[in-house]
Amino acid sequence: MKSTCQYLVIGAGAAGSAVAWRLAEKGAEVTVLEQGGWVAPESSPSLTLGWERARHRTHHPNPNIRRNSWDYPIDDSDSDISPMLYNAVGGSTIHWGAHFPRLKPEDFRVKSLDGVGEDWPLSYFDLEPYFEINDQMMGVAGQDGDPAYPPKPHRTMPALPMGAGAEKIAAAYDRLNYHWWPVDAAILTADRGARLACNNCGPCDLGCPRKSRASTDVTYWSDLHSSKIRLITEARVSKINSEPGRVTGVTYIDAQGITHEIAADNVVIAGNGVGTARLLLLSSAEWCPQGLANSSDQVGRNLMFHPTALVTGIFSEAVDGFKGPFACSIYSQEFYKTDPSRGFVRGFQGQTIRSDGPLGSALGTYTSPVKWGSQHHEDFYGQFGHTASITVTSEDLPEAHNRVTLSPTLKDHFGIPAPKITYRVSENSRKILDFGIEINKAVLQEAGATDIRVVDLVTSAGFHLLGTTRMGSDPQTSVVDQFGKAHDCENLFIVDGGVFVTVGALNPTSTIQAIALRAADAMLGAPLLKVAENE
Amino acid sequence: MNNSMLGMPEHLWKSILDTLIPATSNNHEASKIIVIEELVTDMSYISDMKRLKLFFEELPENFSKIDQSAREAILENLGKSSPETLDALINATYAIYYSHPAVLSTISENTGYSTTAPQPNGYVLKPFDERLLKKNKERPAMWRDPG
Ligand SMILES: Cc1cc2nc3c(=O)[nH]c(=O)nc-3n(C[C@H](O)[C@H](O)[C@H](O)COP(=O)(O)OP(=O)(O)OC[C@H]3O[C@@H](n4cnc5c(N)ncnc54)[C@H](O)[C@@H]3O)c2cc1C
Ligand code: SF4
Repeated sequence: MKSTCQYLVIGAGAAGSAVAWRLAEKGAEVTVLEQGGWVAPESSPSLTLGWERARHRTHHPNPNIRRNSWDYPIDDSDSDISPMLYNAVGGSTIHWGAHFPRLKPEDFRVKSLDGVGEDWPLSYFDLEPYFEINDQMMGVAGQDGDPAYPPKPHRTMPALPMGAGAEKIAAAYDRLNYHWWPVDAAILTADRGARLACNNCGPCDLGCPRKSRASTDVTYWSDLHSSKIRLITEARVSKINSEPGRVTGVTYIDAQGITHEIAADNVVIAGNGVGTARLLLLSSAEWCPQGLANSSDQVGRNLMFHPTALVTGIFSEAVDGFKGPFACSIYSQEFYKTDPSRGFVRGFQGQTIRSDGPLGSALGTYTSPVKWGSQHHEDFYGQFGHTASITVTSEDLPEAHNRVTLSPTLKDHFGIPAPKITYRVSENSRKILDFGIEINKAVLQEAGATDIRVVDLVTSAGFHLLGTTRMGSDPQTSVVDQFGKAHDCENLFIVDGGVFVTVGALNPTSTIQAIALRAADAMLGAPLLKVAENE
Repeated sequence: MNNSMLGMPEHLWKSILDTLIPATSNNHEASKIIVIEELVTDMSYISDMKRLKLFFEELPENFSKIDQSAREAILENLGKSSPETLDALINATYAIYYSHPAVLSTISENTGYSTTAPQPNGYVLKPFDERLLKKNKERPAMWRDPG
């Protein structure tokens, strides 16, 4: 027999957890289906000596490498960049670095300001009150007053320690007259209930046993007090069922391979920019043969990753970059805006990345691998503990040929077709990367680096999965409206990073979650919050 | 010889490993640290084992008898025709070597790096010093209000 529910949310990651929380707190009856299970923070390999090995194998962010039973494989053979994600309660925030910038006001108006991409149907200021709720829920450490943003509410927790490498880089930025600021991090620098202040252990991507680093399993889910919410884990949705113009529920497969159906008044998808597009394409029916919500043929298209280059300085003295949250210290937005004299549009964020333990240093996660052979040990000791890196996180513009489709051959272990990624770094992004590499080299030189190494494209940096179900006012060119409601189905909503119209050059999760919270209010017909009305 | 060693004799494995990471006065050679069966299992995560077998078949019979620089030249040459396989071999060798307590303890002796896991102790860092922002605080707003 089918069970029924009012709101059925697919995916308990960054966006799914936020939307489910908001719906349930406002009194709606919510069922969440998540294909992964719970990951205990105390099970983090960072408590063992084998932590780095786990990072490169069993806990790798690439599902094709770790091959966890909760995962689905991804065919990335036609992609310049491999997607990284996690499937569990908490979604990819189980692995993330918690660098928590918001998109900037101008990122929502790229067409008007720079003549490329499309404008969003909403603005930074529409999202502002929801950014603020989300900041409170996740817990953000940072420093007030960043001139790169409109004023934000007072950060009650101090910014993270910079570390010796970032101090050198910051001083170099100052001498060069470039912007830098300590990042907003979804990491606690002061105890908060069961979550303890960060103790600078380093590998946040392996999970945080102290729960200092926000992941939605320890933030939104621990705050869910409503009896009206039901979470079913290891529930892999294989199809969203529909009739013309509306969805009726979903079919899912449990861990034992048994198929279930749930009827729903509304379905909310939060499977991320790859998982959601895959599911919509899997959900084709007689009335929608190209896939659900896909009359525009935009489902799966416009995939954006933020192509990233990495420039690493090697310093003669130790900077101990293995200390402190690896992804969070300082950033620079000096070269964020379009400058027509540079020969490309838009720009990049320079995110200072600390460093790695012995194995990561040897493998060259942030730089070239340590040489093998007779020079091995000399090269290793020259790098280990002596490096700091700056990313060139580049703007990525929407291009229809960069897309998610269904693989004709690859399937997950339940026989469901896997997604296939087709993605090429655009000429514009390549120019940004090359420009940013030269800037970062100059900064690191100024900082005193004795040797500088460049990875001109980090092929494993497919962390941001965006654009594949974009929002817009025109049903011919977009999949959902500004509230995530599908143009083709009155009771289907999408709230993950797929809805991004353009992506700026900043990490997206803060913006993804704000969009999800706002969408929840719109679904319930609640008045949308304006700044200062924040509850 | 056994299957968990991909049919290769142990001495050949050892000389491959020590070519990649030789001993120095205060650093272990790889063959002292790495259990070959573990290496093979680890490589199955990241490499096609059939290709790996083919790679090894290209090694000359006297590989373990020649000197380090000649062995390096052979591996380098093989790596040119099969870069992914050589990368996988290096990756697995480093993965096991640099997670081994004996190696971590040597690194600790050489650098002061802690011999314990990152948690539960973590590390102490100097708190963020707001005074460092003096120059940036004087900057005008850098965001564009698109209206
Ligand atoms: C290593 C790493 C580092 C990162 N660092 C940062 C950072 O510093 N800052 C930042 O902003 N972002 C970072 N990110 C990206 C960030 O994690 C994502 O932007 C964010 O989690 C996306 O949220 P989401 O809800 O769209 O998707 P996810 O968080 O990926 O959640 C999607 C969920 O949906 C589930 N799902 C998918 N399909 C189905 C289905 N068919 N049935 C049931 N469940 C399904 C999945 O199992 C998953 O749990 C990082 C990511 C990684 C992997
Ligand atoms: S560095 Fe801090 S936030 Fe990151 S895992 Fe360690 S304690 Fe947690």
